Amino acid sequence: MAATDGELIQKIAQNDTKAFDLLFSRHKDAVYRFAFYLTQNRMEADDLFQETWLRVVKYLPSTGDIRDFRAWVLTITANLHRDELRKRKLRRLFFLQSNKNLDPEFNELEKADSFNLARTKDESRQVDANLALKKAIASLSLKQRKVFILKEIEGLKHAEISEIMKLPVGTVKSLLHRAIKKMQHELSDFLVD
Amino acid sequence: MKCQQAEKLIISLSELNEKERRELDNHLSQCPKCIKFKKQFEILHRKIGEEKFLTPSESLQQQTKMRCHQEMSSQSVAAGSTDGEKAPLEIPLFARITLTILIALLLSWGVPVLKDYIEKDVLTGETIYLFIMLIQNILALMFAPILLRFLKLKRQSLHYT
Repeated sequence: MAATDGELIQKIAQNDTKAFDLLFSRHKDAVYRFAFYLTQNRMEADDLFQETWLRVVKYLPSTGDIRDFRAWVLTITANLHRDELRKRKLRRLFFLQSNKNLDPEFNELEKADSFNLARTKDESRQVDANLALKKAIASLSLKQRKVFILKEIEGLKHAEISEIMKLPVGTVKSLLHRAIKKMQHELSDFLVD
Repeated sequence: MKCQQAEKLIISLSELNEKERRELDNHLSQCPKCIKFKKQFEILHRKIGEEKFLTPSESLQQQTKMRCHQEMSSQSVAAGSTDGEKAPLEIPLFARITLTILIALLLSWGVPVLKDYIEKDVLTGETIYLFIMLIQNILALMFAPILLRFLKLKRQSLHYT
């Protein structure tokens, strides 16, 4: 039987690198997805991903009982991203840097799509839908985006999201409701059977 | 029940208790607008399930794991050094040479100047310069461990980037 996260955490506390690799492979995709949708930039997502795992290694041995590792690691990602935004805000204040942060990833996808003439209609529609979904997620406010990703993509419960974002459960539900409404509006062409 | 309330229940369907579920069913049986909302939400949910999300590249995974292993081993060394014997601090060659020159200077020039000051009790420019140098050396010795640690960390980060 596969070891639980809790068992792996105990082994990591004793410097078992194999246990770490196993825990890493279990949760890497969730951490990366979350990092990417927070930053909307592949390079920044890479940095955030790496920084998150370094924090995990640093604090895991000293942190006592972790009930839900995934929620814990996603909290680290969210906190690191919040700190980075604060730093950026300060930098902007001092150096009057522009606020443009959106990666050209979405535009690149769009360009690549327009050049691909060999695609069938169904494939094109699927790619369009995927692109529209990414754009719709990007159009949400940061808080709405966080709640939406954690609930709809990572499948966390309201209480877990509330803990990660340090917001009351009611606020989480309202944010999610607004996010879904906006997503439905943005994706109205694709949300038909 | 208002539509907004019903919509909030629809998006929390998996977390509803029996009572909330009954109330929602009652509302849905008489509200086409909320039925449409539920249908669209289900399609959105399905689309998200079909979506292929980005995954970390192989090189990023390897690099991250390597850095984490390194961090783990450095933590164990640090823990070991607090338990038992302290790990010797590696002093760079330039620091050793500088320290030797400073000690030689102090002995060959500083001691006669200090002796002169004690005997004559006159504060000359040379004596002031000696005191400044002494203070500077004391400060350098105090901050040397911080500087060494900083250099070590910088070397490590350069190695992994």
